[in-house]
Amino acid sequence: MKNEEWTQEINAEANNRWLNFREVYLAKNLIYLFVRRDFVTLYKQTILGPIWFLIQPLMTTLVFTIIFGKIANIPTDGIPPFLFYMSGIIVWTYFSGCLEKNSNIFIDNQPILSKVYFPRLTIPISTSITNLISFAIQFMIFCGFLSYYSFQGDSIQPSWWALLITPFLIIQVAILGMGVGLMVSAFTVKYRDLIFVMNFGVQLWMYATPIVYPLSQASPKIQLILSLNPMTSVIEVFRFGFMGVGTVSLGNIVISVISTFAIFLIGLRQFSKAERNFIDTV
Amino acid sequence: MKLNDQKVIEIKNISKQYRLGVIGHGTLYRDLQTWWARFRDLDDPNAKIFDSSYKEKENKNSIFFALKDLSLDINKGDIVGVIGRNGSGKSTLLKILSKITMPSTGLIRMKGRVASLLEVGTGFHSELTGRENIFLNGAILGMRKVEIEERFDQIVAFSELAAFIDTPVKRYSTGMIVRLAFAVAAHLESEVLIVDEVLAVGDVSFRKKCIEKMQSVSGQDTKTVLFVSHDMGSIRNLCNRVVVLDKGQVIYDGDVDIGIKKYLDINADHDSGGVFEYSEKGGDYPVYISKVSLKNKGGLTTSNFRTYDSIIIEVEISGTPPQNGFNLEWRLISSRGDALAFGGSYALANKTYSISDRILVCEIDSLPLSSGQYSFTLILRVWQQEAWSYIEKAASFIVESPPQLETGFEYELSNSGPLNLIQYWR
Repeated sequence: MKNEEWTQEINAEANNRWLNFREVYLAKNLIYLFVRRDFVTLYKQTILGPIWFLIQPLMTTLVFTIIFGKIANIPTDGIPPFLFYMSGIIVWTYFSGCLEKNSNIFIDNQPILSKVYFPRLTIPISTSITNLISFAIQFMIFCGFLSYYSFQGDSIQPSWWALLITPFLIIQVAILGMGVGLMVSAFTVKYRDLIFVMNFGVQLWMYATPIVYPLSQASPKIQLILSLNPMTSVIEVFRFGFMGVGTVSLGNIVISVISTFAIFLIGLRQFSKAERNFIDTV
Repeated sequence: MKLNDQKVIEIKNISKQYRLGVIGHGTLYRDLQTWWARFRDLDDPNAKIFDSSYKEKENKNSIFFALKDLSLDINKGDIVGVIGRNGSGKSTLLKILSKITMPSTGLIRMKGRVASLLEVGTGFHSELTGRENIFLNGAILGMRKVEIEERFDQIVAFSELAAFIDTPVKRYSTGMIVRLAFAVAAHLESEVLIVDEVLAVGDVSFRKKCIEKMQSVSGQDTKTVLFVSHDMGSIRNLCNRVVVLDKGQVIYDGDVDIGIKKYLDINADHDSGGVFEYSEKGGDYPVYISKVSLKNKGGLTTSNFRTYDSIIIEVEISGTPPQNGFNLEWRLISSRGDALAFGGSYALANKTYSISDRILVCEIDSLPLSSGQYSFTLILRVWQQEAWSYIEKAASFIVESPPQLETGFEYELSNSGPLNLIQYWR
């Protein structure tokens, strides 16, 4: 019997399952259904429902404005503090959402994963898309505040191209969040300690990203270190686009994009390795 | 080559090993050691698995082979029953074939679409409606969108839940959820179907309907089914080939009746005079059945009984039950594999146990059994929920039926069936 006739192969030695993107593409309906499920069930049996999408970032923005803006008096590059913090928070919320959800993939989905095979990548992809919906809502609110402040005559200069680059920035954030998340998920299978590391790791990472302060406030030496963080350039470009102020350099963007893709590929590889046998250790 | 001699699954030298023991800092240390050695292009200091020169003694404690160099060909149209004791490797084999876990070594090739049903209702979400769950579950099982849409009406009709299809599943009863789940599963379109013991749940009439549905699909010789079950009755009814596994290897492959007999013979070898001890299986729950004793009316431990003797089953549990209110159930199985009777502390006596209960006792009055070998399968769980501990043929015993005084007739399992009923002739 000729080899060509076999349609599926399970080979203990081969390690090429992670490149099976066609399989993931064919499962697009499943991705859609996962997104739908997560979205529909997220705020079931809550009184305020989807309004929570707005309350969370608005409250955080308010708290940041009071603590970092009013009390600590951290300058915001001349941008109204409320807008400054909100722009950082909504992008960061999307990133940390993707990161945290993806790093718990194996543990959260163990009941399904241990009973049936489907392309595993559908889960991180649908997670990123679900989070994208809440980002979109928050983004629209942000745009609302942005136009309010510009009509008030505040010194902000939104650029027309900001809306064009936003999708690319968001894709980069999604890829980065997925990459780091998948990497962590591969290790949490064996070492649950990483879950705890993750929780405060995300917080520390936030302070290493210009969310509550502008990059321009840091000394050149620290700026250099911060620019190694792929999220730094994303936030600064986002602010530069929508509000006209930010520390943006081509070098930083290139570093950020390249490291994002590198992290994504490593994460994908670790994930596909872990996925092969995770059920034996979980 | 005839059409139905075509191989659809080819399994070549599959092994699967597990590393036993607790994962802790030791594992991390070993992992780092291995990684560092590989990094420097040296030999892995922890690569004991395939190294034949490695001291076997140490090796045995940490590595366990669930499957050992197993090869098997499945042809088109085969309906294969896979049987074996707990831990014989049959669920590992199924998991590997379903691509849930990878084999450690070896190669498997398959042809056509393979659907596997290790559980019904995988991915059901209680907040979603029946309709939404049909689509989600179907997609998870690998059905295409158009296929689900085409069969949607059939699935709903099959489940007999048309009136509730837009109600969230959390309002369903357990039985309704099972029916919906089965309805989706029964409409899976695939050339090869891998089924675990999923048919063990659900009410009898619905289960029968599912088996009929499965049979009607497999009646055409295009369908190939791999079927794992502890119920020899359904293996006998459904399958045209039996594969017996023991200790991760195929010990018999072929005729159904011979296979079942082989399997029952292995079980008999594990008899031990009325006391049966079990170690932790590493299941999902922190509780397990550790010891089963069979006693006669006088309280003596034995595995020999006579027809109409009373029998006392004493079950000792270890570990911590996750909650109060659990019950013990047994099934009486004959050595031919038929399920003869059922007992359950909750169902029959409304008796449940609490966390502090360590020894559960059931006394059965007057066993109307013919000469032969029988056993009890034990299930520890909250009634109608997932089993905490499940041991098939946990305690086996022998019944001797004294010959009729006048005629010398003897009730024997093999000739006159399992039941020895008291009867009056006029």
